[in-house]
Amino acid sequence: MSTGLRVIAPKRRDLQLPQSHEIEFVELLGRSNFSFLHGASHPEEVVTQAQSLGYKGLALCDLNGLYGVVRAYQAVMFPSHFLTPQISESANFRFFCGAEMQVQSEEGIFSVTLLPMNKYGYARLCQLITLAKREAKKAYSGLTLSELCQHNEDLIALALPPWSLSRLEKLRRAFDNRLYLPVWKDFSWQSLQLYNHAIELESQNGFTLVATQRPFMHHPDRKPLHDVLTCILHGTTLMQAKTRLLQNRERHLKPLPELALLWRERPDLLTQSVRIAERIKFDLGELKYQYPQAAIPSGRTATEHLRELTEEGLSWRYPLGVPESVRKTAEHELQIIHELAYEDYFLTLHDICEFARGQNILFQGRGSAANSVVCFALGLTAVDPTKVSLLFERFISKERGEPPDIDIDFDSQRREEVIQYIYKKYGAEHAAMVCTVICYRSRLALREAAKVLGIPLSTIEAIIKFMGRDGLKRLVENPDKAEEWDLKPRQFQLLMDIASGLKGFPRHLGIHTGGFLIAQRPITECVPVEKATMDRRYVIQWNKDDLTVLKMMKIDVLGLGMLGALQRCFELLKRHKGLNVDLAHLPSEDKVTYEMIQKADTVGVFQIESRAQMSLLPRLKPTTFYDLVVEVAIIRPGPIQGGMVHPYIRRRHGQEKVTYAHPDLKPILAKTFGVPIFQEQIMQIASTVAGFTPGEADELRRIMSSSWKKSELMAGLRQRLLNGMLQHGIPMSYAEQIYQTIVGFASYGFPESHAASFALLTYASSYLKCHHPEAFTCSLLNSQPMGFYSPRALIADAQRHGVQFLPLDIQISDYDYDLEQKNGHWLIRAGLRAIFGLQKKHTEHMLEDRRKNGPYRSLTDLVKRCELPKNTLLRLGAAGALRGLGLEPRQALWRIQALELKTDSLLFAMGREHLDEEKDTTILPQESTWDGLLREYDSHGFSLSRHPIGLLRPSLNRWKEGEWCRACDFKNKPAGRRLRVAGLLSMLQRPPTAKGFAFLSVEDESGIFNVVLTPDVYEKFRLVIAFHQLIEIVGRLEKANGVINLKAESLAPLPVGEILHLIAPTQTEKPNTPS
Amino acid sequence: MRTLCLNLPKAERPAVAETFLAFSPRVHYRDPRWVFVDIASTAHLFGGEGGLFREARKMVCDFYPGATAAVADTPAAAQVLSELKPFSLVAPQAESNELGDLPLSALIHLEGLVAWRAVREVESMIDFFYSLGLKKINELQQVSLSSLRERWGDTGMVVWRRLHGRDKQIISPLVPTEPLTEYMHFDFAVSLLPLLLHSTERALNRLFARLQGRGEFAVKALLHLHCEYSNRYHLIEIKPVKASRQIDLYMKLIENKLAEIDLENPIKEMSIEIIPCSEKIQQLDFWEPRETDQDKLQSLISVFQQASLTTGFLRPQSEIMPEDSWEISAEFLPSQLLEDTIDIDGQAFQLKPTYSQSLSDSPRPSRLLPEPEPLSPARLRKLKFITAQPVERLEDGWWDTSRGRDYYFALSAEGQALWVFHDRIENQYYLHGYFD
Repeated sequence: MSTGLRVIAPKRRDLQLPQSHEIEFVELLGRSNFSFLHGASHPEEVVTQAQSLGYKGLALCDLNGLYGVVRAYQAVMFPSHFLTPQISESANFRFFCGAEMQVQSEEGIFSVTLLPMNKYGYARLCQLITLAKREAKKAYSGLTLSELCQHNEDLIALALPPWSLSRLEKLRRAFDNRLYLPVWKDFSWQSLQLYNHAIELESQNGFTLVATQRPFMHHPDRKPLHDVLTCILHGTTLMQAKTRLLQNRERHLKPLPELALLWRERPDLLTQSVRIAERIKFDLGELKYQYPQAAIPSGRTATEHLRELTEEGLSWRYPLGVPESVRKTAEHELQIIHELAYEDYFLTLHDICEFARGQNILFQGRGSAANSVVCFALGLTAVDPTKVSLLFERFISKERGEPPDIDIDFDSQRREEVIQYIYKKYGAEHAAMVCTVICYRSRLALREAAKVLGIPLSTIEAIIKFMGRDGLKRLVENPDKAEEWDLKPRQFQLLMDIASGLKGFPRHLGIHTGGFLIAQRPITECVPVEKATMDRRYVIQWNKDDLTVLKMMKIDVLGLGMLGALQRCFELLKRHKGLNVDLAHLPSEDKVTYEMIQKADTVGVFQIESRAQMSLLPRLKPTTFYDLVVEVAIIRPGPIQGGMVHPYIRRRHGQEKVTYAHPDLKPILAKTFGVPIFQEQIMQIASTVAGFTPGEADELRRIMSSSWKKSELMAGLRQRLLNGMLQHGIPMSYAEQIYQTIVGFASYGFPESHAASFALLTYASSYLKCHHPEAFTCSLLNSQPMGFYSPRALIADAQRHGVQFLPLDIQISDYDYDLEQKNGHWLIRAGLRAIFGLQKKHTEHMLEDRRKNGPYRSLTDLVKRCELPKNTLLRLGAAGALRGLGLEPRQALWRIQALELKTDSLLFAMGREHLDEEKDTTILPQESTWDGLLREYDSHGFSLSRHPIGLLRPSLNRWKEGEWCRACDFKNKPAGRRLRVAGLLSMLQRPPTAKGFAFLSVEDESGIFNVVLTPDVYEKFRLVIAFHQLIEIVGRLEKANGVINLKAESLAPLPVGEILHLIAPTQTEKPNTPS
Repeated sequence: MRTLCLNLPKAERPAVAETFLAFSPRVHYRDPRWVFVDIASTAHLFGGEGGLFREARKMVCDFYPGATAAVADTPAAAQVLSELKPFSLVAPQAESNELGDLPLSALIHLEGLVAWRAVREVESMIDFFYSLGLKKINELQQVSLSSLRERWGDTGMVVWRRLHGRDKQIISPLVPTEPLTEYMHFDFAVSLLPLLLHSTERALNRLFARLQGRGEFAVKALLHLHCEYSNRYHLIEIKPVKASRQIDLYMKLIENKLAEIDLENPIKEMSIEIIPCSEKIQQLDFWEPRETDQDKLQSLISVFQQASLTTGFLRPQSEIMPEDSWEISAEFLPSQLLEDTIDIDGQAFQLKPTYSQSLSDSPRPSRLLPEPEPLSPARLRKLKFITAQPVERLEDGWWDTSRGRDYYFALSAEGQALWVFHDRIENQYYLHGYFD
């Protein structure tokens, strides 16, 4: 046993002990949970704690990155208005950013913390981190000592122990007087030894020491969470972690008196931290982001060029003359853009959209600034701003100084072309994608917590199953369940505590769906870039909110399936019917289209095809474009949770008086009958009748746009809102309703501008469905997968609207669905893309050959000409596409299986044994109608000629006596009638806002109908829904305001084998149900 | 040829085949869970196929609950029937008919001694025939050899032969070579002796059945027990006076031995090894290896243990609390203290720290008290603390029983260097050790 007893008694420098209030200290080694499993506090918590303890400053130096610095910076510079208490010392507090880099040297791995002294140092740090992370996986670093020494300028280095003299000398040669040795006291023997070593290095080698706390958490209470993170890092349990854990909870931010006591021997080391901080002149706010200069014709300024383009665009948009009001608005917007120097941003967007237009890629802008006259003129959006009264300043505000936010949706199938264009045009150094920080959610947090506590996997699964989608709340409310899972109350409580603590902690970085940061200078001078999980994609270490805080502009290049579908529809109309249609030139306010919408005949239509939307349409009865804007925005969690839907409908139809809780609300809510529906209205309400300052209103907007809500923040917001509204004499109940709407918006809600952009697509898709159903259906089928409905449902809907389909045929079908004219009618020819698993390249090769050399004469001819793999041939055969060669599906499959497909064989394209196919005497069974249906469903998911329920219908009565109702008969039955129906389950929905209700979309041969399941009925029959598609439903018919639902009482699987047996008694085997 | 197929409920080691040597010398094991026994020449010893089948069925169900069996002409058909018509005994020359009404998917089990070379090919064949409307084996039996061969080559030919009982597979005599061991891992560690004995008996039954099949006797049995929490292993040797196959005798000896030993905590793993011999005890080999240093050490320890002396080697442990941070082990084992780990991925690396690894280098008293001794206020006042602040602060076990201590160096009135801690939870001072 060691007896190395040595009393550590460093030489006392100051005889007079300083008072705590004389102590000044800056923590230079702050660390947050953005060190991924190495830190146990959020960045905001770290800086707020340092502020409240009276520190002079704090440097956040996470491991190998700058992930959390903006959040910390925001907490210091723009603290939340809704969090109490406000920290008064913030004026003297300085925030610094830095990074702790893990470096490889000949003597092994060591860590050094780097702090930028100025903006050049910051750029160098970003480049160093990028260098370390470029090809490294999450949490890995690849930095070497020589690279570090090469990029040392303008950086302060704090070399972390263990120290070796030779390595320190190397660092000193590079960093000179910018190198420091940090020492800390955490009541561990190791820290004492290191301190002694440091004193030695100081006295003998002249190194400069500085005191720190090396904090891994902001408060000692986070030690358990830190231990849990350590266990996750090592993949072990608390029981087995042993010395992997910290030996005590001293690595936190300590009060100054405690620090004074701890360092009473050497208070100069505390002061040293302040002196180092004084050397740092850099502040994140200094980052002067420069937008890339757009290509501007020589001799023109960006302002002039933007003005020219706007004027050109306005002449194009208004060929009959630009209205004066529009011209004035344009002038006003250009003025604001000029004042804020946003010309390059708009010009860059214009450039990207011009590229898309040139490539025939349909797009549409949306977002805060999208629905402006300038955007309309530049072609970024097709929403005529004169038709929707939206204020430009509401979105680009001089006062807020925030960058504009314009998202552009492109055809999702061709978005990659736009991304590649951006990379090509600006270069990988100047354009990178924005990250999203993936955080622990309830399920994962619980799983990890349980693993760390050593709870068996089967128990974890059981707990997670019980938790369902309700999150940890359900578990907290049911502590009695612990016994069922064989957990002791204490163990269960620990599990809850750990999981709750872990929830919201960052786990890794993902790629934002389409956010791009484009900069004039190399991006790596501004923010580190690292490898994303997706191959050849790199992301910056900040997310979109971080960019907003630093006033950097990002461009969102998003994908939207409907844009592609519309583009394809326009092309079909042009090619086949000679019609030149585009988004901006569709006949507006078409009455017939609105009549169709009012009947909820909207399968396939953008945004209003869901069950919830369809049930609202007959009640809302939209007659104008603005009605569609409301329709799109109202079925969202915000208005639903706020209970705004029914009041709006009643008021719109004059069934309820339009009232306002306060006269000041009238101008805000008049256009929506006194009911708040849009995000902007909520912000205006908060400002007008709750007395929110512009800063508070802006934070409210951020909260509503964020999916991560901190409970204390929401509680503060609620209190502030209720107090403000009560002061204005608004009743508590209304104030609470507004708060609930905000909570809903925070999950997902639409601003008006956004809804207007979407409503345009809704109108366009409705118009096309109404007037050109065959072209619209064809384009939807060619854009799959997208939307709410499967191709089977889309085809069935089109057939009910009189659209006829032609089957797959190798001699005629193209890859895509296409239109064919017969006897003056337009029919849809099924495309080969419908066949599951058929590779596009093989199909295209075959079609190319058919175009060049004409139709195929036989199967042998097809095989010889196209050399297709067997799988492809079998899929074509099973889909019935070879009927054009005279081969029925079963016959085709039997023959294809016998073919020699090796091209170098003498028997190529012939049977291996039966050269003469007449010699093959095998008799294949005749295909029954049901078998044919199954084959079609297996092969391409639909049947053009028959529906499974239609086939079973004749014998349903024989199987079970009584009336079997069809979907098309519902309208003739009285409300409240008890019905029995048979149907094919199309979709199940259980929206979180529906309080446990479930909704089924079920189809039969005559149409689709909705089935409502109460929570108890759903619980009782959920296994029937989960494992069967052909089902029998008994329920009562509900009719209200033109909406028809079947309220289910019971469900049962249809015994298909038994029913079929009643049709064909010879067929005894039990067939499979279509998948 | 007549084949008995034993279809075991889960994967077993090849040694399982030895259990069934009692029924015929021609036994074949096929990975992972089938045993085929050629009973053509031995059935009469059991009063015919029926008698043999009854005994085999009883044995297999006793040892492997959930197992099935079937008898057919060929191993392939016996396997299919064991799977889909369990415990059927098909009359000679009738297996084709018996297979006929099985669904097409039965083809996947039509293997016998030789498994399908490519199961996916057979699966795709089944899917293919389903898509053509063929649903039963007898429909497939109508397809000609040439049609199958044309489409699936050798596999098609094998399918046809097996469907028509023409795939002769010969079962060779089994030569036992597998070690006589049984291993058990308990998902829920066993802490009750009756439960442990029950598991032991089941394992011994299987081992002794194999002994019976091999015609051997057990010289001794070795039980290896692994304790869950202490991570300790116990070795128990059971050696009757003479080699035996009496399971009761062995169970009694084991029970007595286990009752003597304090196993401390639940058993996570157990293995039993039987040292067999044929009826004649083997002589020692003159050229056996000389005694090694390890053997000498073992002998020395044995002598000490005989004299009831506490002996062992101090082995540091990766624990935070001092009293847990070492253990005495009977054998000299190298230290396995936790250290930082570094994961390498190409040029990049990730450091996973062991934050308290240096605790093993911290000073510890030469005499650590087995139980910390509470210090009365009077005694505490007599001590002189060398440092005002704690030298070490140790905290542990917040998830179970929290422990928090501040350690100090102190001098007694006599000048003895002491190790004292302040229990932060109980607010009490303790003496924990003496320095030389």
